[in-house]
Amino acid sequence: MKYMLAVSVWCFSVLAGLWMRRRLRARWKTLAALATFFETIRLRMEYAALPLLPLLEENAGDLTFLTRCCAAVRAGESFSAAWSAAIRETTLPLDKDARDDLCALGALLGTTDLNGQLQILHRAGRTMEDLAQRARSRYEKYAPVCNGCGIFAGFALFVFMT
Amino acid sequence: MKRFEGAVSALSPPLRDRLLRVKTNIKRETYEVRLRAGQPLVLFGRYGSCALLEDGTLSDVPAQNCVRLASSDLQDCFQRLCAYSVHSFQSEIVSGFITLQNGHRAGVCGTAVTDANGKIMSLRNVSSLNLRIAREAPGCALPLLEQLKAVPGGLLIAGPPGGGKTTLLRDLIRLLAGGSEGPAQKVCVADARQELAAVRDGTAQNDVGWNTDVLTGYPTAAAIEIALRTLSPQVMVCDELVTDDELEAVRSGVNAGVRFIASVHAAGRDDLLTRRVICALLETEAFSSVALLKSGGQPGRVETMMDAKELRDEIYARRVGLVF
Repeated sequence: MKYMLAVSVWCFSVLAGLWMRRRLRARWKTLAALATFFETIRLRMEYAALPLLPLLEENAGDLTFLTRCCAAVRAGESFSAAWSAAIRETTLPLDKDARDDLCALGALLGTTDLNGQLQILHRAGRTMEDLAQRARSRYEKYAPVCNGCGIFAGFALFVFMT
Repeated sequence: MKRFEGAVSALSPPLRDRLLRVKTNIKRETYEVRLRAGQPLVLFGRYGSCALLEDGTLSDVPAQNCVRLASSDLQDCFQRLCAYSVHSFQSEIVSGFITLQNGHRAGVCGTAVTDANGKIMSLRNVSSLNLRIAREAPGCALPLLEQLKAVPGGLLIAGPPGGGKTTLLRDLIRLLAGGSEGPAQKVCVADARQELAAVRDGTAQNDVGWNTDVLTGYPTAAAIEIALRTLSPQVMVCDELVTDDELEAVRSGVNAGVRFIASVHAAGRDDLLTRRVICALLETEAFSSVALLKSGGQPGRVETMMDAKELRDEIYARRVGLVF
């Protein structure tokens, strides 16, 4: 029984290490997706001054908070409130900085003329790119360690328990 | 009543709910909902201008319990009317209006932002909105259509502002392109001010028939040129011809064998004979008849039908000094 428990703890530690590695990767990928998203809607807006909601819906992809935001707006909520709520509630692996930046963006989207919107989206894209770059560095720095740490910590716990 | 409900549904939920509580007869007789920052909410209709009270009734003079709008309410309504995409409505806002679903329009009033040449670039500090409830008058152009069938050639509709020129044109388009009164014709509409078809998101919000192509937002002269080059219309409809460019475009259209239906501002017969652009339009021979509308009363009511040739002769006679 003792051995089985120790093996379970070891496995758990290994999985935790893997989970941390996956989470670092997911954060980087999400921020990169956001940067691409802002650049895409900026280009589409520049081409034909398309309205915001269809643009968000069409280009949402895996960024599910956008779809939720659009649904809330269509249900009668104001855009900035729906945007903030969607970001607060999203399960995407975003850190506080990214969430704050995105929330601030919600108050500006759709409120100015075309030039203003293009500049706002360009800036948002650049910010997300920078954050994605940072997340990538963190991933590349810590990902190889995560697996080893999980295995090593699990082994240490196994020895300790047995 | 449904038109009223459709129009106010574009406003913010608290305001919309208040307006939906208004009595049915008021809804039916309301033409405009006027929203001003810090002022009472005003409804304008057959009954005149009245302030809306909290209990859903109207009052001639703003009372204590009238519904007042905060500046933030107005901003919220403005954002909603633009579908949270001010940039998409930039040119319309600069022209002073926003086209809504079902052809309703919101007049926008605020502080203009201009460039060095005085050209309006955008608007800030929206101070009031005037929600105009669209009303169509189906069938008002039927008598005119009979006339069109009898006389080949174009038709010029002249009338004073508010005389129903646009309403009449819209119904005429519907009848010609809808095929309900004879074979459907290929109709092209130069809708520079977006009043005829009221296109929103690429779809005409007013009924303009199923065989109509709408060139929205193009300058009229460019729209005529493009329609002639690519859309092969049988009938070309333009609202309010005023510039020399438009005149030239009509002239080239006539040479291409297109039938023109257009409108011009004219208070009466004298205006038709003296205004330079109208005289020049008649001289293009694009129009064989001229319908002069009655001012006031029922929209689109034709006062007199005139033969364009007779008018041309009179213009010529005046010019050479035979008539004083």
